[in-house]
Amino acid sequence: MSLILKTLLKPSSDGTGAIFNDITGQTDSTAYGQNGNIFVSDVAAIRLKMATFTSLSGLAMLKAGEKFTQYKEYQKTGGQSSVVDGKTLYVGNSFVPRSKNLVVPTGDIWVETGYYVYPYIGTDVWVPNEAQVQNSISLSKLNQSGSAVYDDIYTYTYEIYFDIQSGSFTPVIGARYLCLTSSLTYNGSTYYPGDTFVAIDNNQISASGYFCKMYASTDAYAVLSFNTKSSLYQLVVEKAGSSCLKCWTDINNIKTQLDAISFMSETGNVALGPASKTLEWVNDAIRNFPTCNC
Amino acid sequence: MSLYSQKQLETIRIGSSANLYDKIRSLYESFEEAIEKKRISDFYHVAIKQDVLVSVLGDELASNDVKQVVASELNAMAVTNSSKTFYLTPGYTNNEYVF
Repeated sequence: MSLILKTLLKPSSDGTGAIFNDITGQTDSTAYGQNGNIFVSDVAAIRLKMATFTSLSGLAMLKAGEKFTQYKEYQKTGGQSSVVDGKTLYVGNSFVPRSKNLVVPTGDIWVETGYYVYPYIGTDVWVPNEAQVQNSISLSKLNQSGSAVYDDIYTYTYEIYFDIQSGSFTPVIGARYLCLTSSLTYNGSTYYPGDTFVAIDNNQISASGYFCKMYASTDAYAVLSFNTKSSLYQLVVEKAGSSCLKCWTDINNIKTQLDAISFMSETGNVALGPASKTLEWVNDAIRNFPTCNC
Repeated sequence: MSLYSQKQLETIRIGSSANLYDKIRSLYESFEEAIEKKRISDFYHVAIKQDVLVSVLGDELASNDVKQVVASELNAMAVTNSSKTFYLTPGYTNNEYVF
């Protein structure tokens, strides 16, 4: 039985960020510590790739000389093999820049994947834990600014890593490895903390620091609607003293739509476009709530 | 027949005072009685507002200011309706229900 990861993503209670947690637990047959699965305390590191319907829409293309944006994931779509940040990259390869000043090599074409991959290692380390201490994610770690987390349909990939290694090591073909400290080389490329790669042969990894191997991953959805809810609750407060059936039916309809897309995200079965349209409809309905003399 | 699960009622208990929790539960019981006696129409008008307010009270994203207003209104509704008898009113047309 393999480990089936369960996760949670929601706005923080004051809306100034997001809360992420691994709620897999340790009791189900597919949980941590069960049927040969690793224990939650064995998890050495995580990787969280975060996207929204907005970030996945209208993906920007980068050409030679343009700067990569730190922590955004890119895919190479054109050009011969080239070297970026010590790594030899080919068409089809993904790359997450760990610094701000990396530039697209001559002849290359890169496209955003829509994902933002803030590294939760080093000083910002977070791993799942028995105590269920949540990962508090600030706006900057979501590539956002302002005072409240953006309302959007979020989709994310959560990966857990274990089995810390260092020195010379023969990788498992097909396994994904994450560099934790210092650097490592594999097949002529150099990887730094936060970088990952998939082993394609048994050639040795040579590490001056630590690295670990991916054990399990999951894809999930979440609707974050802090701002919409704040507007809706403001409307509820304005109408609190009224018993107008029409107004309360309208408010109930708005809330039902909002609840529906939230429940849908929990099933992991979300059509991003329609869900985003519904969120838009909810916002419009609140903004244009009919004037009533009630 | 139960309108709200024990878990939802527990959410109300967490989000409000025990006193308000008891009043709301009592109001739900009167709703359930109304359903059993098919006195649906009046029940609906109150329940739809009640439903929204209770869900806001149980939402951790609702600010304390919002929860205070909502709790106060729920309290007022509970007091007003706890002894009210709900009747079936076929052909009910007044959409400004006042209780």
